[in-house]
Amino acid sequence: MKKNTSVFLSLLLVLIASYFLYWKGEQALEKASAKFTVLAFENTDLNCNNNSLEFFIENNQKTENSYRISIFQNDQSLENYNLTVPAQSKKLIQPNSEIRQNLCSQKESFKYEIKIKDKSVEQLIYKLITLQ
Amino acid sequence: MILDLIKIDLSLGLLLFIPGYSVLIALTKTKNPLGTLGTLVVSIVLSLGITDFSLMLINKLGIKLTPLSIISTLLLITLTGFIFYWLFQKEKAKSETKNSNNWLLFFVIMAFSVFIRALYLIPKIIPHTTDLGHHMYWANFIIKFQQLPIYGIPDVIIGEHIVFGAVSILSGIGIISALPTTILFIINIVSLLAVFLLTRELARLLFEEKTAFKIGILALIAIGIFYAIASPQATYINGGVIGNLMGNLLVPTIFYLFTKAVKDNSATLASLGFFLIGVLAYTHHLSAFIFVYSLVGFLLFFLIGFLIIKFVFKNQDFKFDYLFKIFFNLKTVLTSLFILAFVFSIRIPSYLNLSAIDTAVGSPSKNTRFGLTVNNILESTGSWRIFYSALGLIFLAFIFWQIFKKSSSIKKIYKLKLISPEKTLVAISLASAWFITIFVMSHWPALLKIDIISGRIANYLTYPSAILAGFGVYAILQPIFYKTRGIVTITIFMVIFIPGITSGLFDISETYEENSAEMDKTIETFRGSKYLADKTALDQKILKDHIYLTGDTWIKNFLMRGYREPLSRTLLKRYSDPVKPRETCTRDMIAVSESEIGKDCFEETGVEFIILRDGYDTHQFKTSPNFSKIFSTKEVVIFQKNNLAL
Repeated sequence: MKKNTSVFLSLLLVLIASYFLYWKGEQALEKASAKFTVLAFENTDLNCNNNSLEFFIENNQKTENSYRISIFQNDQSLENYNLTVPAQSKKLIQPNSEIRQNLCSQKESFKYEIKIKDKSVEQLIYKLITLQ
Repeated sequence: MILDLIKIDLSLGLLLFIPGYSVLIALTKTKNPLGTLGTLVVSIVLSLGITDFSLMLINKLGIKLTPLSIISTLLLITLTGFIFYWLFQKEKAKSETKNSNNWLLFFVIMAFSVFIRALYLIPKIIPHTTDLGHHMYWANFIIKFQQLPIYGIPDVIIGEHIVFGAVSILSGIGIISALPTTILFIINIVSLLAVFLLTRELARLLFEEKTAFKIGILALIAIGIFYAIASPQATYINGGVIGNLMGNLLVPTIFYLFTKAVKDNSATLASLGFFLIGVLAYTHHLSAFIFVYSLVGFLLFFLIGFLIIKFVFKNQDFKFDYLFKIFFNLKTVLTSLFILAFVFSIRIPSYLNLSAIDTAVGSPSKNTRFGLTVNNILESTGSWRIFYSALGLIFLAFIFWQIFKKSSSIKKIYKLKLISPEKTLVAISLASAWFITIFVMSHWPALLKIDIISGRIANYLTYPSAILAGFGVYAILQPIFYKTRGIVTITIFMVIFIPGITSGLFDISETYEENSAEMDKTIETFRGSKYLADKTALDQKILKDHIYLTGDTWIKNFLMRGYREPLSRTLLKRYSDPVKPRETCTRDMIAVSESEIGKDCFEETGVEFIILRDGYDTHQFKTSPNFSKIFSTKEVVIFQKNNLAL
């Protein structure tokens, strides 16, 4: 084998390996991103208002997913329903207007809790809503 | 994806090849001054330095680091280089047409070296490691603010981050990707080539051409294939130990340029070596520190060798002035002045202050700095490699004796040659002193007044030991190949390499040790980090957990609110440092959040959000009336401190 051929082949090999590493990395990131659901409040406001009661479900999986949503106030169930979130999308959710009004007209601070359940996991978030 | 690869290619070509190549051919006035491989490696390393220096300069001039400013600066340098070359070129390029089975062997070794590293890196390719996360904050700083950071801490140096920031700015690919690991992979592979070149060049000063190539190949096996996973190689690529990886590319290249300068009587190559010392100083403090010690060790060896040649062998042909003229001339002085001027007028490396120097020099202050045992060194560098490097040392001492003896049959067997006493002595002193100096630094640090973790120094033994191992294996193989052929040689060959293969390839078994599912959790940490970046105000304090949260050091790359944001609970042992007392609030706010100490800490630090791995120290938050849980994935949860208790 000629010297130059050997050096250029080695260089080509390094480049191909680098491409492969980068491509595998992007693939791994994409694959790992498509494995979980996020349940979170839309903002960190702890005062009672429409925004602070809003939450979202982010379905990162590649298929649509159905969730059983339960909303609680001080461990008391306020609302239960099923919701399907399309693949790799985020759904912003608010309790219905009656519940919202009712919650913000409370006299004391309360624990506001959201639970979601799908076929594999159950996730829970909560915040202490302070009345202004 | 294809577009991404093209963008990476063009960016790397502009940042890591073209400027270095143009400057190299302009200064040497030759198209291919160091042969294809040497020109390629030196162009890459010079480009790294040129990119660093030019970006530091335009940053100092107040010009934003945008794609336009970076491209135009580097193209200007490149164009100037090409014009100089075109005006002053000395000769047409010589075409290299050497055919040899050895070059096939070179390709096979390189292919195997690349394969082993890729095999190790692929399952771990998601960016998650601690050091890489820390370093990428600074690269991200360059990308986001289009200027170079002022660190304010001595642990990080600008040369570690410029290339990552610049590649990302030019390619438009963010650093929260496989891009940083890919760049480190390339740096590591180029460092193997630098070792091959250096070994071959050193051997050329002692042996015939074909023998020099063989020794280079043996060193390439020792560095490329054996112990390829262990630190400071594939694990450092994955871990993002950028400074060491770059140091291990720069140091062999500097020594290669110096050796080549001595061989070819080239002040230009010596001055390029001086320039790379400047680059090293701007890239990694420990590598620069060890380089300086190795250089002093070399001078000491050289002096002793000189005295032996002069007074024991009564050799009067030693030309000191030959070496002096190569290293002390207008070119090297101007290069040194340029670096000094750069240091004092453009940017001072962040570690160049008295307290940082005082930390590294002095009597060892902790038991991790008292020196490693020989067994520790065997373990960290590889027993096969150390065994043959010890043989290599003995062999070099032996051939030193033989070369200067009036008559010796050994010269014929080993194909030794005496070009000139000073060149012989340079080769033997450099190969030996580099290894011995680092060995002493890691084994008896008190002897050299070194106060640095000995294990870190020992990592630097890998490269010189691979070079010596090349000589050591040759010392055994050559007499056998010289006398015999057939089954005996094959047996000896196997006796030498089978222990190397078993010991040196053992760590490939670690390839799949780390569960890739664990790395997938990093993405959930990233998602939590993005949530915090989007939903919290710049002045709101966040605490994260380094102990259990995967990829936690990457959180700061999403927030970009300062290197020390968010606050971090670190490993528990670090809170009881006998030398440097540490704050304990970051520990107590997670471990005992409900205690008086914990509450005081929340008050004192103003922490409002805590990001944790679900199920790991989360119980106290879940049962506390003082915290809300505002974010949840399967693995990552975020708690918010309530305004009031429930």
